[in-house]
Amino acid sequence: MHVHRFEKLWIGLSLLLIAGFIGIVLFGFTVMDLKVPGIEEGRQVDPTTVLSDKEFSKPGVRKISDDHYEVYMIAQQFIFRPGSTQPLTIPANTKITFHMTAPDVMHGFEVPGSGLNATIIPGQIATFSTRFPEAKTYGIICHQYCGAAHHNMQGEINVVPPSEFDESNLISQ
Amino acid sequence: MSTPESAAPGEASVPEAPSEGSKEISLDEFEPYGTLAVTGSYFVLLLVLYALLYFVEFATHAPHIIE
Repeated sequence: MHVHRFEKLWIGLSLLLIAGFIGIVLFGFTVMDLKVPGIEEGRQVDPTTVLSDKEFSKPGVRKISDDHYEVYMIAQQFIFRPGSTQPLTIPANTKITFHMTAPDVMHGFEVPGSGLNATIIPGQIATFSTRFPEAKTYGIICHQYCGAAHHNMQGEINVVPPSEFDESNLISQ
Repeated sequence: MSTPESAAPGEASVPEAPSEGSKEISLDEFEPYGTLAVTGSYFVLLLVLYALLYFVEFATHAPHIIE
């Protein structure tokens, strides 16, 4: 079959592009060690009872060690708890592990301007760890349509210097 | 009276004889540099936007997922 040289050129470039996409993703997950949000494997919750279930009955910030805190968060129509009525206050430069679930419908958790983004599905616990390098205020928005007031579902993360972090608001284990 | 050609709509009409000033060229003599330029600029745009999306939005230095 005779193929025109221009056709050969853009067939070749298209194949290179596909190889490039695959290569960049492999580079990201090996050399740059990127991570994506996950779910807690092997742990399912009942959405109808999760509001009175273990840690989720008292959502908030818990301390694991001086350099590691965890956040149990409920996303429900149309608030994040904590986050919406009270900002979520956490220390900067500290490892923060989020555990999030929903009692009603699917919600989204996105911190605009950052790489933090997860989908919160009833029955599962979405989880990831991060560090906020600087003390500043971040927003949270729901990015999955969850009902009539979805557009109002938002929250705030207040990152404070570790020395100013008030531990009296922590949820005791 | 309709001719046999016009009686069958959609059928290719008989090619006209080359008019004066036109010439037939082979496939390899056909060089669509305009098409190449448009395709090439879309290709470059695609690469730039992919890099922006991946390295700026996803692999960002702002807070990101570490585990």
